[in-house]
Amino acid sequence: MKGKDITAKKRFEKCTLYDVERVLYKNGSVAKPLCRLLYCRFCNDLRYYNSDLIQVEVDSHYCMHALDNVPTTEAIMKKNRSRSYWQCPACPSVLTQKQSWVIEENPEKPEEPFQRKTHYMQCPFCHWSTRDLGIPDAPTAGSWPEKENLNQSRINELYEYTKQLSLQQASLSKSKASRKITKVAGKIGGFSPMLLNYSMRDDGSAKKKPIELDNPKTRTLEELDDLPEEYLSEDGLDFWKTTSLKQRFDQPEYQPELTKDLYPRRLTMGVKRSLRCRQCDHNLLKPEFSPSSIKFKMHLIATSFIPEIRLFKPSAFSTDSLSANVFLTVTNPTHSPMNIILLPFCEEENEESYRFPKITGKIMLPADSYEIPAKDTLLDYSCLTKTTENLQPSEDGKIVLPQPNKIAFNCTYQSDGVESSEGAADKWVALRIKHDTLDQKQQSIWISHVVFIKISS
Amino acid sequence: MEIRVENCDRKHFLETTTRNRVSKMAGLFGSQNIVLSGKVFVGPTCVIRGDLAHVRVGKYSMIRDGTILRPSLKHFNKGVAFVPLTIGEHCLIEENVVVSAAQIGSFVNIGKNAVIGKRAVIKECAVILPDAVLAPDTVVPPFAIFGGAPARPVGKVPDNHQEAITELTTTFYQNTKVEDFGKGK
Ligand SMILES: [Zn+2]
Ligand SMILES: [Zn+2]
Repeated sequence: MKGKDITAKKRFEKCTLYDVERVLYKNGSVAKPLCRLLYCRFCNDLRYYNSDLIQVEVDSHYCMHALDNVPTTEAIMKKNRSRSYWQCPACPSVLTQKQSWVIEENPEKPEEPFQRKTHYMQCPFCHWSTRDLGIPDAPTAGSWPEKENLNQSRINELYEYTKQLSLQQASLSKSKASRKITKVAGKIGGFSPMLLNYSMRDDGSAKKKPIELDNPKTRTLEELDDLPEEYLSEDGLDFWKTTSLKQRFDQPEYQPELTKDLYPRRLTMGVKRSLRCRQCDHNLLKPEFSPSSIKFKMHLIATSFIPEIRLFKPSAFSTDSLSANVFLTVTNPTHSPMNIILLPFCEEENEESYRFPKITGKIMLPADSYEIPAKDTLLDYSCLTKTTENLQPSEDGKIVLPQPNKIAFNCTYQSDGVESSEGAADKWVALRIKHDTLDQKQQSIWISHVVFIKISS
Repeated sequence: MEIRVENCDRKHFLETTTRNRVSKMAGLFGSQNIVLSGKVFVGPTCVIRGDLAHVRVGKYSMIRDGTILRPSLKHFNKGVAFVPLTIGEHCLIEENVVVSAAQIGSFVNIGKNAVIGKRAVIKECAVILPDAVLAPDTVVPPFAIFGGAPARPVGKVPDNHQEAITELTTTFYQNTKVEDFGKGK
């Protein structure tokens, strides 16, 4: 399941819109596309979402299907599961509530039976229904019992254990601190005896409480049961009755092996989160409260501050594919003019270089510094009369583009000559882009980023 | 990579007064029920079934070749009715997509060959991956990426999606322009 998800994600990056994996900006020990990076205006540095320098805060919980807010306390109580929506156990679609009428016998008037409304759930995709499983219909929609987790008591035990452990650790560190205080207090004197007493008492209680936890009933790998006979028999396994691995992993707490054990589960809730820079404690991203809103109260995404490098068109390689003509564009996303210099990248060999793309050659860059005009907000894209078709570079290698805040360069790529064993391996180059920006005091400062560019198709 | 140029032969396109560019090879049925809000691109061999229910497409939405927009049926207590199909602004719907949704928000990107199930609701800034099959009545929250069959959430759209897709759709529309567009018959 995991592997499949990763390929799906890769495919997303390869969609027409997001051919973004082609240009990666180095940030610490990762190289990421610019749209996946944040820019802290207060530290003047890039920040990656999943790095240690970003603190993720959950703003609100919401139901992924109804798109309504759920109070955090309720979300925790409900274990982040939706109140009224259930997921199909055979495929992950949301089950729809179906109504039907059942006729019940009327003991008083047998000729006039009762008509009662009942509800059952059916998957709109694979048509699995609660009736398949023999789950009785519910009198009201959404009121289905949840399947009991056999390991619930063990989970509660572990939960209690960790809770106690963290409490003990907190009190330990506190007592350490208070011991320091007593030491200092002893030296300077003048501390109230109350405080000393309190810290002593605290020390004692932490020691008294021992934590016990039963050993889990684990098995070693050698003790595992043999493969059941039916797997080896001639008829083989009945695939109609056996669940797929994906279905089992979808419900880690039950891992049903037979289709008759599939039981619907409540839909997982979504969260809206805001991001904070740990270094300066400023908010970098804060979405609006409403789950269906796409607006942000704070939105320091790197693409609105850092000049974006793109390939203008597929690079034209020579027949031996050792050299190529590379067209690069640089876009100024800000509302003030920006100076940029493209510099060659000097490779720093360190143990982390395996995290970055392998550079296959050098790129000859223009030596000048350029000023890119500001982005014109009033200019509608449709006002641009020129198309980007058939644009020819002028003599100095610069190309005039219809967008005023974009410049293009014609550069030459020269391979290192060391052809990798895989002939059609990706060709990567690296460069350093230096540009000026305004800091918090409105003073111009220069910052630079290392950029990796995949020039092969 | 910068957005590539799509070559549109002016012989095969019509430009309306609100500057919608509609391929002459597209099938628009029940055109009195179809509202194209302006600067909409409808590629060749697209089918829009306005004869079933109202179809409304927002500004700068690109509907690429072979895509079918078909309003879906909904069962009510008293019989059935077709649900109108609304598409927001700056949407990019790629080739050979079947859309039976009830509502598609603005800034939505739907990949090639995807199937959007009946009465599905896709919220703003969501992305549907190529070849995905969205089950009927699915709700796709904002900024979610859905993929696979049946489609399930697989990731989160970058937070600059709105600007990125606005640039993409406007540039796409711009790039389809041919010198004397609309004059040729
Ligand atoms: Zn299902
Ligand atoms: Zn910061």
